[in-house]
Amino acid sequence: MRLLLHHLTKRQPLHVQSTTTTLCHAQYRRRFLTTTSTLCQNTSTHKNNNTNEPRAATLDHSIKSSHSPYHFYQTKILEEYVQRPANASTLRQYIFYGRHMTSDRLVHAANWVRNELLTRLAHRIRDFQQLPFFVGMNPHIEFVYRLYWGAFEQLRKQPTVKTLDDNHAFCQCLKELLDDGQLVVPRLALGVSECAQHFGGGNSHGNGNGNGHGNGNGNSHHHHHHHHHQQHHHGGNEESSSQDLDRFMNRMLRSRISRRMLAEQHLALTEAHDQDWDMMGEGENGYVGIIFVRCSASELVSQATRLVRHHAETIYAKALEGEEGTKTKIRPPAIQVQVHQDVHTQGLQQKEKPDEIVFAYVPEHLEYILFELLSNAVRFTMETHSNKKGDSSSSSPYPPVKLTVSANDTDVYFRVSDQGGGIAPDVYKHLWSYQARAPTGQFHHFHQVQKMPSSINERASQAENLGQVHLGMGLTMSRILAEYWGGELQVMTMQGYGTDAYVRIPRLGTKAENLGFEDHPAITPTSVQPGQQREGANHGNNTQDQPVNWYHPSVIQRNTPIHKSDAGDGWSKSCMMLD
Amino acid sequence: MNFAFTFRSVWPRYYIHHASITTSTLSPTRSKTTLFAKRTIATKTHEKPAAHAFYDDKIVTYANRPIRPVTLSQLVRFGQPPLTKESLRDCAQYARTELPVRLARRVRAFQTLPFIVGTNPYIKEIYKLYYESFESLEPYSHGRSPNDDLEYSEKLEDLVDRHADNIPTLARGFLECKQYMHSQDVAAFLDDMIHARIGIRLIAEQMIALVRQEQTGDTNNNSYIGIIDTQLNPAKLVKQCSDFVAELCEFNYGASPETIIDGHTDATFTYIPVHLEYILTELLKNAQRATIEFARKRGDDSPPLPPIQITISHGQEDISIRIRDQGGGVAEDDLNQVFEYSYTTVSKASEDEDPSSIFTGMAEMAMQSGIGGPLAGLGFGLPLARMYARYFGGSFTLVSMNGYGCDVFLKLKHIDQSMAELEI
Repeated sequence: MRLLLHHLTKRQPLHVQSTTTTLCHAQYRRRFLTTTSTLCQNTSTHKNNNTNEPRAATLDHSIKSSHSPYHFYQTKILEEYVQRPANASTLRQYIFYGRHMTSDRLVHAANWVRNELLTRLAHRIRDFQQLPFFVGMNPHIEFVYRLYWGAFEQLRKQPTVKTLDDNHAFCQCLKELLDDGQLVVPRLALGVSECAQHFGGGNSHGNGNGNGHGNGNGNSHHHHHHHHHQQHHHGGNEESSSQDLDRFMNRMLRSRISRRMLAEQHLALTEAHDQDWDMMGEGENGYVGIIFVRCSASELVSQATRLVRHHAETIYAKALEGEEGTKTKIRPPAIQVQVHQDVHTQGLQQKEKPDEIVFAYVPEHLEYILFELLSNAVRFTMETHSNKKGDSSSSSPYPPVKLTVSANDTDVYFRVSDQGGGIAPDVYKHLWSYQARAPTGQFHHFHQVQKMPSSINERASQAENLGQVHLGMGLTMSRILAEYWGGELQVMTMQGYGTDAYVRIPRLGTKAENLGFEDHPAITPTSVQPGQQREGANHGNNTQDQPVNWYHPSVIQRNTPIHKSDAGDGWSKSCMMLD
Repeated sequence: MNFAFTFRSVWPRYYIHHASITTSTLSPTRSKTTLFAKRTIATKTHEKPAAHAFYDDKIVTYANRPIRPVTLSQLVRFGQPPLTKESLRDCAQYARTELPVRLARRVRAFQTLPFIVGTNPYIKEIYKLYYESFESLEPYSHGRSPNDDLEYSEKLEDLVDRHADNIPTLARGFLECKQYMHSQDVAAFLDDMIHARIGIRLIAEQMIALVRQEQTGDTNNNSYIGIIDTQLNPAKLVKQCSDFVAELCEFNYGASPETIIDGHTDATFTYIPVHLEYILTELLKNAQRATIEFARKRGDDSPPLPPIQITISHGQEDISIRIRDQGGGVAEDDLNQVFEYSYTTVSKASEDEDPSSIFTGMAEMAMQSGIGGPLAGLGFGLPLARMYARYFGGSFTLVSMNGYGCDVFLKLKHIDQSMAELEI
């Protein structure tokens, strides 16, 4: 134990240097992650939004409808949890904890997870309650609101876990919630679409004055939304309300990932415990729950590349062939990968493969990001150069997509460069904003999607089912995932030529989860003293009622302060880009 | 205007050293020796008692006048072919009334600096320079006669020359005054100064160029309207700058990385070559130097050096130029400093030497701009480049993959007749 603590605080890579073969990643997932993987259905029956009510939402009659007068008073239940801070942990803490799992600890962990989920859900429910009234009346928003309430109630009614059997019951509950949780994003997206114009007057007007004829100031990537258009419905501050929806969505999505992280990790650890896997020592296959301590950049990249290539060949090639009526096989653009040698300035070299970039991470996050970026690159390349005809040679007529991977002591970088014609200036300006893009029907296709995929395989299948239809959330979701452990995602474009996407992933595991804490102007803390942080992860004094926090700083030294996000537009400040 | 001329007006000292490698078609009156002589004489003009300024209300009068903003399209219109004496007279008239106002404002800006800072010899030198420039141009804003225009233009040329090294001198002065002024205030002052200077030089150089064009009846470069090139090919300019920088690099390091230029290499657009040239040279200097130093640091001496890739894109609204290198990138901590007016590369040794001497000046310039200097990006090359880039609504973004390399994105708006609102 001491050795491990010493090991951790020395900031060395976390992988144990063993020679055991690691399970193929996909195999592991199929065996150990029992979350469901029902995919979206791309049939017309789901154009109608009255899908099956998730179990959780039907639990308590009194919260069936927020129209009920009982509802207002019922929210008092929330207070206890809303006032607690959410505790963001670092990757190292997750790993450390996972490696030291015993039956007792598992039971304690279950309680800790339960409370943490309740706290985070409570914060999000409070967010919903702060929305403008008529936005909350939107059927999609209301659906998600009820979903969250149902989840909250279901969790709250779970008894304290005291034995391993209790834990299993708890895990069953978690699985159901994870399932239902996949319904959230499509509905939120639709709700946002429909409400966007009410949320601050909309940005579709006045776009002509954008950055076109400016003064000496150039285009800043972290631009501020200065909108000079009429206020439509409320007298609220124009500028802040136009950002409110973006912040709301960001918080929702970040919190969603964090809750899935907690739940999936606990499920995986339970499974591992049941199977009596040894997380330490020679038997370790590298997985600590859903975290893989030996993520290899090359492997992740090649898997993503393979999926994207397959997707392009089946979907786009088919579409193009059909149009042209020829039998020539269309080859999608090549994805050229260059992995550069890991640069260590502290003299630590890997013994096995000095050129390989290995680090601890949650692979499904990175896979998702790479898949999205690569498929966007391929898609736009093919669309822009659609007049190219395939020939009988094996090489593709399309200009290649170039993927560069590099690393240093603290971070791993991925750069996806394409020649897909670039992004138009008015699109680029609103690339990261839900609200700005919603009025133009960007999220319209979420009507066809019921569940949001949670793994790369699900995502790939969904993409296949959707064909050429695009949901419009891939890029923003990727950015949220990248920022989750303190990384970033930036996109630069050269209009007329192509686009570059940059991903920075911290590799030391010392950054705490980015739960998107910002001061919501509308939240007025009631029984919280001024100066005391509401949604801060600085651990205040533990009250007696709270369960023991295994991630308490007295157990492990927190290496970095909690990652405060927000560069003013709801996204994190960049460490690799400068205007 | 060829490369040599434009280059000379921006870096006279570099030019004198590297005259052999650039083609020169200067008119005979502007020989190197004349230039040299003018430079040394300039700093020995008679000292005007400083108290004189206090009772001189001309400065204040002019400084309080509003700047008549000029649009670039108007500048173009002055020189629109066919170039007539009328349009030239309009241009001159505009310059005569506008320049004293802008110069006076600069003088005022100096006068509002803290007293101790104002007494620093370098800062005082530049202050006096602006003051004298104002005084020499001010009479022309009153009446006029037909021969005045030519005389005025010659005066402008002289002034453009003498003001060539303002920024390094100022930077040096401020370095010495570090403890008397906040760095934010210094940065704000320099920002204003540089921004105004760009405007002043634009007006002046446009007039000079138009006069010369009209004099020589130059119809060869019919793509040029004064200092504006309506058919500027960025790829060609990149090649020129890159070759020049490669020579400097070879001189300093014995090697230079290859440069690959791709994308829309045939694209042309309307722009001011001097500006683009400056920016490109700065960026390429950084890229090449970083590439070599990084390779050497890693002990990777085996050729070839990783190439520098420059991509040009012609878009709807702008021209994009991306410079991609494998020079190791910029560390996160340094990233915030990259655009600072940092003076740390000026060595202690050169402080005692006579600043007006050409040769020490050249070495200083090289140091300040980074070649031979300690770290990438610290100097004033980048902040200046960014200012130029942004001047007509463009942008400048640097993305660093630390441990690998940097991508710099330069976006320049198309300047054409339709951009009527773009004011200087």
